[in-house]
Amino acid sequence: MLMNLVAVFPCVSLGAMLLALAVLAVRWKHALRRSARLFLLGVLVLTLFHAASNVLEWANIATVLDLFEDYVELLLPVLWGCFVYVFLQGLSQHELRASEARYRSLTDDVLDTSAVAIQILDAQFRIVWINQASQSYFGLNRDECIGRDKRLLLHEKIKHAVENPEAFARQVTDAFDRHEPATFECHVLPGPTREERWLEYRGLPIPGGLYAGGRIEHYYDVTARKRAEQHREELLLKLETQNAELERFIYTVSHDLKTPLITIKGFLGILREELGEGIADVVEDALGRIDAASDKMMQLLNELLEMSRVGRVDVPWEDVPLADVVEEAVALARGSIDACGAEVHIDSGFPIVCGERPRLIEVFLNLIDNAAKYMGDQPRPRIEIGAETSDTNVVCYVGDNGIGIEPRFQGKVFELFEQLDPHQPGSGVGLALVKRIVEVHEGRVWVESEGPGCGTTVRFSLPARPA
Amino acid sequence: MINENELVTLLLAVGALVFILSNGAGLRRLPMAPLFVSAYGVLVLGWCFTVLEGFFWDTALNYLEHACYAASSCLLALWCWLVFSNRPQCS
Repeated sequence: MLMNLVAVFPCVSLGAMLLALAVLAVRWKHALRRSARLFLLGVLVLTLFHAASNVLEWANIATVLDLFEDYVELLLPVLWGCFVYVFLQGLSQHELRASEARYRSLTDDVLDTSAVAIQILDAQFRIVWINQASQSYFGLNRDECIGRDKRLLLHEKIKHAVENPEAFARQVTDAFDRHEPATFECHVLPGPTREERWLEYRGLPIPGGLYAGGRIEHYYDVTARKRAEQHREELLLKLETQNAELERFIYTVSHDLKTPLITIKGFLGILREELGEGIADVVEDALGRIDAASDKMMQLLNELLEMSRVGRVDVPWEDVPLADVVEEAVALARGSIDACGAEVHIDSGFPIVCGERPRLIEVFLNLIDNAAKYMGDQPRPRIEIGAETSDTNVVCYVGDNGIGIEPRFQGKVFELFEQLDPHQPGSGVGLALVKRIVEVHEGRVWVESEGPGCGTTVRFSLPARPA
Repeated sequence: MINENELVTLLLAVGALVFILSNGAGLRRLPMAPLFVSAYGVLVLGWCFTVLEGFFWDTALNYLEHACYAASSCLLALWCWLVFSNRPQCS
């Protein structure tokens, strides 16, 4: 029984090998590399031979196969080992080719198409590789650059493409010597093989690997940003010039118009004297209207003149205690406050700020006057003045419980000649003057009101005095 | 009784097995690698039994030797079937 089983095993082995050889024959190119397939074929043939030999031995049939059986047994493990070796070799070559393909794709398809110019230097600052952008930005030829010392190339060619070549070369070589990251901007001048550009240089030392001690240099094209900045500067300059012209115009007009107005007022007085007491009512009314219009115009011109002076006349800033400023402003506005019967509440804790004292008084005076003027028919009028201090700025406020302002008008109240209620006295210059003074003091002003009947709070910020 | 040829075969087989196992990381890329290595391992076991049957339990070890050869052939055939019939072309 056992002997019969021993005879079955080589037959099974023989059958399995025949099946394996058939599969290999039919699907020869389906898997593995050719050299590996040949060694596998060898393994299968020798195993088949070994099994056939065992079958014949069991059947007591002597054949020529018996002569080779010992060699077959010796060859079999060798062929298994060879198959594995050839497979691993094929794998290494495949991985090497895949790695090369990845590297080539990385350089040709990714880095070479980047808009950032890249230059890689080894520890001796020889150029290992530069991308296409580097060539076009500086008008370089990659084949001529690779392997050359960057410092020599910098002095021979690269620096001549740049405005201030010596300063540029010094910045680059200083960064090399310090072995530290460096960032600066350079202006590439137009040339036969390059366009005008602004580039931002960022160089970093390579910390490890094959090029440890070398550098990777990036040149970012910031031309668009630079041109936008230049355009903005031009616009700002133009705006400043126009503003200055406008201020001069306002000053000249308001100053020059005062002279004929004074003449009108003077002759109006003479006319009144000459006509005496017995003038007709209609003449008296006309003279009164001319007088009132002249006064209004004079006030307007005075305020315009005042506004044009703010920031134009260079007055040195001083430390100004806001508590004194508020006290003085309240005293000056006492007439308007008493007229509306408002109760004034002044918070404590006003800080000292840096600025023009008379102008700051003017700000508070205008705001208190405005609060009193727009109190409406409030039965218990109240004006609150205070300040909140933070590390960077001081926010002062003047609040009232008066008629309030509709949200849609809140943005307009600081515009020149803007009066929300034309029946109220005033020229519409007051809050525009406040805005101008606050802005000259590097602050901003805004209004808060929940709507008609809800009162108004005007707040303005000023920079905190440096400690 | 020891057969020199069988002993040399066993030494070569063990050497090849050591080589195969030491390259296990790379060999994992071979399709159905565990099946392939098992086929070889069983074959080496068969060669071990061939040598040992010269010393003791000749009948039983001879039986095991041929069983190992048959098992190895079956595993190898199965590996060929799976790799060449069902899997797409690889390295």
